Amino acid sequence: MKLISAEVSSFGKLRNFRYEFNCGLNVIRNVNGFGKTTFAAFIRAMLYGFTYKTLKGVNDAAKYAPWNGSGLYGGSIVVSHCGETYRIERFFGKTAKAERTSLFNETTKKNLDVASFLGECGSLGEKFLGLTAESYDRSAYFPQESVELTSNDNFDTRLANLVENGAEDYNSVQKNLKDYQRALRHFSGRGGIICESEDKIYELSRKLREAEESERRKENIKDTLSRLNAESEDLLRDRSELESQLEKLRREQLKVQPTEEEKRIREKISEMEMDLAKTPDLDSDSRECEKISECIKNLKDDVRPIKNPHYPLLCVSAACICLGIIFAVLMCLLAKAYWSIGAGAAFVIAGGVGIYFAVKRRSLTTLPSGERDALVSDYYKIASKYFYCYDMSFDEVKRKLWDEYKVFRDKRSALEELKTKAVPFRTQATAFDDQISEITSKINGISARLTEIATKNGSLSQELEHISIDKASILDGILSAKEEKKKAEFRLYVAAKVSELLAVAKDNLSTSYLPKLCKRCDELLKEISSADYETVIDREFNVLIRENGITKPVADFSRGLREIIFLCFRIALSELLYDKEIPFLIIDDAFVNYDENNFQRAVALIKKLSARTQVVYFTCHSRSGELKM
Amino acid sequence: MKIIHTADIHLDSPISGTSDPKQRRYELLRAVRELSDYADNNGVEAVIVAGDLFDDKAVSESTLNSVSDIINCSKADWFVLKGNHADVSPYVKLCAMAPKIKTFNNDWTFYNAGNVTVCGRELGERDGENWQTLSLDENRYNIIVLHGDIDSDSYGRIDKKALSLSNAKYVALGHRHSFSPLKFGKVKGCYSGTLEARGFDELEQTGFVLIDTEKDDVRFVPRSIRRVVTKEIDVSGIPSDIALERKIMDTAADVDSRNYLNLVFLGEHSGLHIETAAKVLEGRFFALRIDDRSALKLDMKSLLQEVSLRGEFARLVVNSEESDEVKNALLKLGLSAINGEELL
Repeated sequence: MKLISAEVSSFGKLRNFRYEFNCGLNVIRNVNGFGKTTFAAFIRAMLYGFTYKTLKGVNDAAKYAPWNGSGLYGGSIVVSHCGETYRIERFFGKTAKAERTSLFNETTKKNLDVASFLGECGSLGEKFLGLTAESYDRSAYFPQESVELTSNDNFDTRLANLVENGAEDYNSVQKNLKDYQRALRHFSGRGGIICESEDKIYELSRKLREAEESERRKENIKDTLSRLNAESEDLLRDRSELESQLEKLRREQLKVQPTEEEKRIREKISEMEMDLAKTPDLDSDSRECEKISECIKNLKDDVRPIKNPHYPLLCVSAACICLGIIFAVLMCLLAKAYWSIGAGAAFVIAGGVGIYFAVKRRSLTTLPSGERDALVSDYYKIASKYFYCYDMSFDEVKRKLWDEYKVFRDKRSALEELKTKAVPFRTQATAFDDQISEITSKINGISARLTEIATKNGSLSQELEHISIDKASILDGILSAKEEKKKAEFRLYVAAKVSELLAVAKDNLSTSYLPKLCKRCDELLKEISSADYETVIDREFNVLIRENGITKPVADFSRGLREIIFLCFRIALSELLYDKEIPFLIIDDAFVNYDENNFQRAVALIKKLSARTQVVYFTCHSRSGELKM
Repeated sequence: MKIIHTADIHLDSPISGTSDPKQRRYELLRAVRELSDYADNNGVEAVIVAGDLFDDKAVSESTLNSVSDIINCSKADWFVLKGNHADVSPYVKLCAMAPKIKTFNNDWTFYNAGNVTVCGRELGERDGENWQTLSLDENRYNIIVLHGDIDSDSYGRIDKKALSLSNAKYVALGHRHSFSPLKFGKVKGCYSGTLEARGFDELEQTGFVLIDTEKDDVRFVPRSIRRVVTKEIDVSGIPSDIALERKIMDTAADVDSRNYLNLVFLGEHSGLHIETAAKVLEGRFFALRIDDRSALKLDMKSLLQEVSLRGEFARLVVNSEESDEVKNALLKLGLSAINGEELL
């Protein structure tokens, strides 16, 4: 396609502006603010229309609407394509609906239906140029910012963005995807919506198990309560029967009430029993005393010698002996008084005699008096349980004890006799008493059990009241959490897949297009540069320049050279995108900030291109180098 | 004799997608009561529940009490098939609480009332044997009650040929949740569908089937406390999220807020935030589902030819073996990511 002419009726600041294009180079020089960029946008709008809402929310239509806000705006361009000339007329309004487009084939002089002409193409630009609007922006249109490198620019990143045509840096894209995935599920540890859903499901499942356990517990309690109630009813029934029996027995018992005489005898028996109970051991004690008395009677006096030596005499005798010996020895040794030997001997002899008599001494004692005393003492001890006897003689005690025993014995006999009279009554009464007692005992047992049951009943009922089960709500929660998890898992799958495919796409792009770009860039560089530069790009768009056999990163070269290299890449990419010769280039004051050397190189390149490509060069400067018309 | 055929009520089932699932569960119970009232007020002598009266494990005592109360107070006879939700204990309890219920077991069980015979069985055991032994008096109005899938043996075998040769006049089926009339030879049959929708997968009209044995008439009686209303919105040509919101509001304006609203988005758009825009309806309906089937407006032909990361990505997606739904999602997310948009 070639541009033949353009007529702007009203577009941005342009009014009634007309331009006729050359096949090769077109230099449009005008002052700042004239509308050069607006004219470039006009040409784009004629081919591609407007996006009334871009993905970034910018409305191009509003940007170029006439400042006075009046009605439709637009114009027409005439293009040649495949040997025919077409006139595109296009007017825009505030919305897409207001847009008017007409197409006229100047060669055949026919109005064409735009939709039919377009066929499967989305726009006239695509039809004529074979490029989408985005590709057009990367290839045909060179604004200043597209070829200039600022000091902060990273060449590699710029080139990558250019090739990949990502609005964002590829690494940023992947980072955003990773962040998106991380929000769904953390890459390590637990976290993210999916994990939260899983945790929720886990927690709710636990609650469900608890609820089911509570349900089972509730059923058990109900069963237990049911059993207890049944038991309670049975027990009440039994108790009622027993109470009836008791009532009946009591009525029967009343019929066998004792007479006054029988009552008196019972009372007497009771009294006598109580009396006898005061001296329970009198029988055995009496027998014991009898035995003691017999022993005492049978004791004989028996004299026995005392066999023990007379100890005082023994000691004195021993002392004499010792004294005598010591005296004699001392007197002989110290005073040579040999007459002391005799004195000493006399002491020794006296001591010996004393010892003899001390050992030989005999005495006699009467044994029974000791034993007798002990026996009497025992007797008194026993007797004192029944009366005070320590101021009485033994015989008096004996007599008294015997009297007491006789009384006891008489009372006992009287009691036995009395009991004999009361036996028949007692048997009957006892039988009733026994039965009543037995039944009463059973009734008490039942009552105790009923109390137990009531207590158990109470605590179980209270427990039952407090068991609150809402399984359905828990299941609701589980269902919702599962649905949420499923949705999140799908989103995660999609995000992971996108990340994977983008990596593959980047790789493919690099392997498919980078070598071609490098080769063409090298060719263009050779055309305009005296030095022998060779570019090398890896898949990560790290750019190296080989100059005279030495390879260095592009960052090591001057800004000017880097801008020229970038321009060559831009042009190479345009050619790649067109897949053939670029039909035209619109360069909007792109080199205005280049230094003189770079400017000359750039315009030299453009001049060369204009031999085979229509170039529209906008500038507000007088410096045009080889682009002078 | 008039007979009601219903099924798949799923009392006490878990319910999602709504802010008040408890209320919805209560309404399922209310639907049973209304059914019973209808029967009493319209001379219906029998109610057949062809399975899944209860959902699985969460049947509460209160629900059992309510259902037994409804049945005990009903003038009609109630025939209840358990169905494929396996827990039988609620049915055992219900039988104890409402002794007039007539149930079925694994072999054919027959009940006679007037000239009508209602017979049925729980599928899944000895199906082949039972199908061979099915025998009905051709002089009676025979109704066969079953719960299962006529196209699959997953829940037991329904022998369509045996049904067509069975002398039955009507086959009361349960399992599928939407009303669908069927024919087995000359024998009429239906899946009655459910009394109340419990979620967005039950889009069809709910109700029950009324059989008039004297006229040999079978008709579907629609009823619902709430239903699922589906509204489609074509997003093509909608320029902005605000315009989309307006369109959503306009579309939903005539929908009763008591209902479930299923919003289906179709067409192509250039980056509308559909889920965000649809939030304008949040809280206005009993339940709301956003079913986004729209696609990004893309010139796929050009995109696929584009020399760019986008183009290469699009080519990989289109040539992948993923389903259309996944491809659509991949393109939406991928292109949004490439364009640096917020990923939703």
